[in-house]
Amino acid sequence: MDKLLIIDDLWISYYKDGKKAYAIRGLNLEVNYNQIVGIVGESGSGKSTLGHAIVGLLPSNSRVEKGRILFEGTDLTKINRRDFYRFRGKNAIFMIFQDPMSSLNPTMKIYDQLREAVQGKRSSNEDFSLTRWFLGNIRKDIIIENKDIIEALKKVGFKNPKEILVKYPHQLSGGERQRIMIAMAYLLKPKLLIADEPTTALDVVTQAQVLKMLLELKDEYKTSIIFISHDITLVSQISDRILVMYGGILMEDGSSEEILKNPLNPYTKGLISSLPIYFKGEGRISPIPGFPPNIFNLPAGCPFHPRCSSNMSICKLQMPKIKKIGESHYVACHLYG
Amino acid sequence: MSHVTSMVNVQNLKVSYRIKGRIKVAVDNVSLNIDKGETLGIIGESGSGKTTLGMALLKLVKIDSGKIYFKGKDITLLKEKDMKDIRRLMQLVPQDPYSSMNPRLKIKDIIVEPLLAYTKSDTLEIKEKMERVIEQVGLDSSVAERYPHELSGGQRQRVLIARALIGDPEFIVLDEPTSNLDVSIQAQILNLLLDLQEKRNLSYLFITHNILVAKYMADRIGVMYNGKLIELGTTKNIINNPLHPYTKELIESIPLAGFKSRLKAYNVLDVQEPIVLKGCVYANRCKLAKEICKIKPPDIINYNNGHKVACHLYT
Amino acid sequence: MNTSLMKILTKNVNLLLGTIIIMFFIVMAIISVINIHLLTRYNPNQINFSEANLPPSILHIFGTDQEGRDVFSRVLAALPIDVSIPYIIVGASVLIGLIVGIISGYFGGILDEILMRFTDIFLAFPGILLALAISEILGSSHLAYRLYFSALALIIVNWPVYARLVRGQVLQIKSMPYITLAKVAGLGNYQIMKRHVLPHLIPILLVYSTLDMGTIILSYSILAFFGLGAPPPTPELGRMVYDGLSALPQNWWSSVFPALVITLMALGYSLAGDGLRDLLDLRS
Repeated sequence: MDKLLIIDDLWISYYKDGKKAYAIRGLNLEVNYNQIVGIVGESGSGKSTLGHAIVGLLPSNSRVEKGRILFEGTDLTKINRRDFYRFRGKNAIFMIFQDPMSSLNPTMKIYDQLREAVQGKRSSNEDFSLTRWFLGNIRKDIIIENKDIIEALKKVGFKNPKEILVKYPHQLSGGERQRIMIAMAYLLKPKLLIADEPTTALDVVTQAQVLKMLLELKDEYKTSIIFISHDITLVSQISDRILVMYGGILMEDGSSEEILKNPLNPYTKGLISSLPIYFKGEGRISPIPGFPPNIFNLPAGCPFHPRCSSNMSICKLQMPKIKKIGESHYVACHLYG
Repeated sequence: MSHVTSMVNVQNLKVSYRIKGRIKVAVDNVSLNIDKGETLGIIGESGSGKTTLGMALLKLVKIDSGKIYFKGKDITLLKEKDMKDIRRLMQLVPQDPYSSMNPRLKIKDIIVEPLLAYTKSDTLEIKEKMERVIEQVGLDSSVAERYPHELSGGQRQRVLIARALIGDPEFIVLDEPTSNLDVSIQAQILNLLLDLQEKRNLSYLFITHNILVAKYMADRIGVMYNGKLIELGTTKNIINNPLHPYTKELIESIPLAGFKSRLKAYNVLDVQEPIVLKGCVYANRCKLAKEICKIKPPDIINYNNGHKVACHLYT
Repeated sequence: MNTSLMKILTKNVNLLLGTIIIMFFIVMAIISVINIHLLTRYNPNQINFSEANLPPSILHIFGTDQEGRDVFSRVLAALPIDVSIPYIIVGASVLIGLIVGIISGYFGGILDEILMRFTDIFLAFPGILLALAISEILGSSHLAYRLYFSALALIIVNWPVYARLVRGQVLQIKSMPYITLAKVAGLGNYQIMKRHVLPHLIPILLVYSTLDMGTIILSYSILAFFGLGAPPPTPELGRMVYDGLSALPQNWWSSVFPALVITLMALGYSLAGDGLRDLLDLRS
């Protein structure tokens, strides 16, 4: 079966103050068509770097050292920065961020931005916007009608879209701005949507709304979604698969149920046991001791071993390789081979 | 509850401020109390007024009307110079560990600051207190000589907790103390806070938007929406038996078991419209709104054994 | 010398160069006051028409002016005033500006409003013209004290800039959460200012005032040029430039050398200020 996205032995490096570190080491992952994949990790896990790498938005002090990112067969790592626009936007890859304010041009009205996002048409305001750079050059082949824009806004919950169209981003709340970004996704109908902590800055009710909209996006347009978050329960609720990352490597990969019911990697287990699930006084959660890793100061071998209660001597020396345990459950841990 | 047995007692508190020429009421007629050794959790969205409430209890913002009692004493109108002795007993652990510390000061200076108002800086006694409190929060003594930028988020949060403890306070306001932290670190900090509460019999006002954290930390929970306290009760009651439609909406939005199926039944809500000035603050969003809800704001009533709610469904 | 100081100076070329220039002129000014004849055999005020308008030579390094006075000696004699007056002007401006800025920024309210409107008035005028006007009005009848009035005029015109600068910084700091925490800790306003506000202000003021020295040197020289400085025959660089104008173009050295010295002094502070800015910005 054809896969939408295949990541093959990806290594991404990162430079700071003359020192080099790896944000991602030897990552392998696959995303099918019409599938939601969740990537869970804490600071230093590399999850955000992954999202940016796929969409070609790595910062200038970071680059792909090794490996391939195959989007429908094309290796995105080999694409020139300038030509990347062909893979972003309509029918291709789109990304929404934690802070939509940085994707929206504060001097352009919402209408102009939505129009520009889809048509790539130069609006009267020539100023730079991340969306425009993101989507690249003018795509004359795409025609969009105003009614499509109105429809998209209705889908994301704006009862009076015409009012919203003439507003500027700063006149909207955080939740509203995120809805605009999802409206953009509805208009673009991307094959792959990367959502990087899209609800972290939102309250819990708006968060549920955003998740619902993402599910609808997937159901209606068969968009695959990579949902990046630090919240494993949140991710498990809408993802088909979950990937757990730590210190730049993939620790575990399985279906949502499998990961939650039967976590194999000690880190995954620790992550789940760190969740505050009890009522006060009815139990204590068991946090993982120690601190999350600093990628410039990673320990040798498995990056988790300093905090791992199942630490063995081999963990200090060798990085664990991914092994298949069960139907569709993969784990990287010396406990399993 | 009489204000003699409480640690903190607030009656009809109102706090408002000017923004862009208009007046916004951040805390609207809120009454609550916190007993000795208990944690009152306050949950709500951003803009609900929960942070302002915490600030008001510590007399850090100007109060429009209402009363605040601390250990039985009316501190509402006390001037700053008379607050000095009380300040020692009530402390704050703020939300953002990054900007809450002066980057030019060493950790040791940051931690001992609460003692400086009462004694001179370099006594041996102060040094011993600092070392003891660093140990109590689980930090290595070497952090004392470091600067804030050298520490991780979790370590900084522990420093702020150490600082709050050094004067042996009895009441601490914690404003989203773990919101910027990784899940595993958050768990460590939450357990630390519980341990400290047990050891020192501390009272907490725990402000958070994370309902699961509130569930784990609080004995009772108050729910705020747009400046109003719309529900107040024991944690079990609030979580298992929410009365107010907003509280129910919050509980249902938590991504836990059954969430996925609930999501399927969800309708993408309309974006919130501006608040109607009369009537219930939640009327615009409420699916169960009646005519009266748009006209008259509901009073908070005691529904059942200390479980209070402000909603016309129950009047 | 302190080794870390040496390390700082050697890494930062601007600072090093600027400091050398500044130190050089201060030393020259001190020697000039103690005994000018350690550096020159001539009397700066000795008029000698037979030696007038001599070009620069081994005998007269900077040549002689229209009245036969050795320009180099006059420059040396002018240094004590021209080196020290800017310190007085900048020092007083900083002090006044600091006090006003802290009061305004920290306490706010109506006091802040009044003070800021007050500074607005001064900031609205082009500094030099205002200083000229003030000095002229104040000092017109007392020739001997003209230079002090000019200094005063420059202080009057200059302090609002510092007040604004300090107030801006204080406002920024005031809104920082660690100030709120200090209040929770029970610290009083005075303690907060001493502990948090002042240490933050000092590096900024240091950089700004150093750069300002260059500007003030030029401003004061302009005032002296127009006769608002020390009364003749006391030599003064700005006045010397004016005096030498009528001798142009044949006798260029009477104006040019004093002007070069002014420029070099200003440059020294400019370089040092830039160097300080780099140094302090990098650290924080």
